Amino acid sequence: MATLTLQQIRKTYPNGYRAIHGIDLTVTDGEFIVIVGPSGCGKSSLLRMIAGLETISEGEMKIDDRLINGLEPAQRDIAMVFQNYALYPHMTVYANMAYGLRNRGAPKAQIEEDVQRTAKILELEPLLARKPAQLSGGQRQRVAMGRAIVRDPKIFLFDEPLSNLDAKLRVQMRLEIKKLQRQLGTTAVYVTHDQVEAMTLADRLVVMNGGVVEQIGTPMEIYERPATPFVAGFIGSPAMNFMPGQLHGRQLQMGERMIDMGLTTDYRGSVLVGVRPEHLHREAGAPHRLDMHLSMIEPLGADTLVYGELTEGRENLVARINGHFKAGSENSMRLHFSERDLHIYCEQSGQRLN
Amino acid sequence: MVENRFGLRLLSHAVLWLGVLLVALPLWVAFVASTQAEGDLVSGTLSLWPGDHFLDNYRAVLFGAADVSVNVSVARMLLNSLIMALGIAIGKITISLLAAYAIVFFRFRARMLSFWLIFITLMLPVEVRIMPTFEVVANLNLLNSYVGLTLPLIASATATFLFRQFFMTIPGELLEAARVDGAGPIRFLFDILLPLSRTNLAALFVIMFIYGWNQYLWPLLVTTDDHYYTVVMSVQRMLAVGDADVTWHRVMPATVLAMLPPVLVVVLMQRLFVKGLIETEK
Ligand SMILES: Nc1ncnc2c1ncn2[C@@H]1O[C@H](COP(=O)(O)OP(=O)(O)O)[C@@H](O)[C@H]1O
Ligand SMILES: [Mg+2]
Repeated sequence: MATLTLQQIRKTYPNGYRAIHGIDLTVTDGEFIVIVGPSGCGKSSLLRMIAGLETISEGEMKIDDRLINGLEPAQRDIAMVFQNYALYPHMTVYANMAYGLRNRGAPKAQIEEDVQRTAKILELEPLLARKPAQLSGGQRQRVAMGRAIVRDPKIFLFDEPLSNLDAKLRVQMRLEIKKLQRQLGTTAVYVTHDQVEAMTLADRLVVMNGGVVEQIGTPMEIYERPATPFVAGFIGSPAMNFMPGQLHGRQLQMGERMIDMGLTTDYRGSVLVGVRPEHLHREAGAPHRLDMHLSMIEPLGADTLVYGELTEGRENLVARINGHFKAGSENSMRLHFSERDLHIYCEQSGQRLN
Repeated sequence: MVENRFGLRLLSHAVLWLGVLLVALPLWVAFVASTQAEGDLVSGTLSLWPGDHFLDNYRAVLFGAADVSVNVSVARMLLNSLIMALGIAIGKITISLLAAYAIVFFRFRARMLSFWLIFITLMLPVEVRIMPTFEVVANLNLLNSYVGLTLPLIASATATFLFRQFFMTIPGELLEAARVDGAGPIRFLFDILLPLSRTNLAALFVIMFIYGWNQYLWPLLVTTDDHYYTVVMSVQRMLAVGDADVTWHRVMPATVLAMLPPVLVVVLMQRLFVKGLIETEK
């Protein structure tokens, strides 16, 4: 039962590097927040400041109404799951899970009860007497989770906890983390660079880039209305296509084409027009169309990815075509789209215009 | 091919046996000599089989005065040596462990300076600084005392350096996990760092114990009272008899006894650190 509030949080490392440039964020009670962004954008720095492992250079951080800026990690009542699990190699699974409780001076009987209960939830009971070296990667991951859960913290912190697992296990653990968090109702902040993890786990997503927050919203909000070209290109796979255009009030001009966007903005000038690969269709249902030269085809089973170049502008283009697509002898194809699926950004400021 | 390989095996066994013989023969001779009666050794014929004075000789040096020139029993010397070796080994390990802990895990201002100061002393072995050290110990009235025997030899750049190298291989995440789990610096040291260093501790203990046990020059300088003589230096004293005859039937038992504790330490500790090496838990 806890909320987490960040106000104008900044981080400057001792070597002068400015990793975080002022972040505001409010995490409500029981919410699952995922921080996503490319490598080096400052996700870990932010999480480690929440954990108390890095000092906060500027700004205020609160758990509930308590200012935590100066508190040691253990005083913040948080639990963290690390990328490499960081289990104590010389301790048994039981001792690993009990260590935090022991340091708090919990009575032995209480420790025993808590560890057993957590072990039961995570199906770790048969492993309690083992050392970390005798566990598989997935089992270590569960123990790391157990160590976090057993202390019943106010907030769970995860720093790319699944990146050392193989693909299948990652999917399985992802579901499990989500289920556990729901079941326990504990506020969680989860850092990842994997957008699938981000989309599937998050109640709300924080997209970061270069030490700033680009957008905060539910996964669907972010997918449907990315606030900046960066977010538009980062979330979604394959990435969104971008083409240049000119906006004249409500009219969008792309090459020869004029599209009535029905916009109320009075902006006139160069814009970046984005359209997702899955919103380019072969069927003639949508009102607008474009032609592309084909260069490569990737069948994915359910869908087919078609790569090529826009005939007029020579921009690279990807389309996700429903079902099986057989390339004929022709080396170009016509694609249809709707103006509702376009994302328009000011070329200078990157601000979203529709 | 097969014959060839057999020949090779034969050859390597022969070489190994030769090595064993080369190492073992002097030890055997020392043991044999320690069991002969007085005068048997100076008579010129060296037997290769033990004599019948084993108990007499050993009892004499262990419980009586070792020699006319050294008026203290070998039992007492062994005790002195043990105190000195243990003091040096434990002291060195404690000091260098703490020094390395501070250098690796704490951010304080003179951190790198401290490290380099310690590191530079690597280049100054005891023998080089022996006169000033003696002066200091003498001024502190520590001549003829256990403190005087051990304290000046305790500071160890080598051990500090080794611990530092080992601590630096400990992943930062482990330290952070411990911090999140509420372990302060002392708990981290005792609950996590020390258990993980077990193998290193055992290896260093063996090395430092033997180093302490084999000290010769330093005890020679700081002890003038027979009751603080260590066994290694006493053996030398017993040999330095000038024109008189060396009492081999006393020197040899003392020598054999002086060799035993280091052997014992190696044998006992070896099991511990071999076990540590097999169960790598990282
Ligand atoms: N201790 C540090 N000192 C200086 N710069 C650092 C330190 N830790 C991280 N950085 C820098 O801060 C930036 C953000 O790092 P990090 O938060 O680890 O990124 P992410 O987790 O998103 O990959 C990186 O450019 C990194 O080089
Ligand atoms: Mg990171």
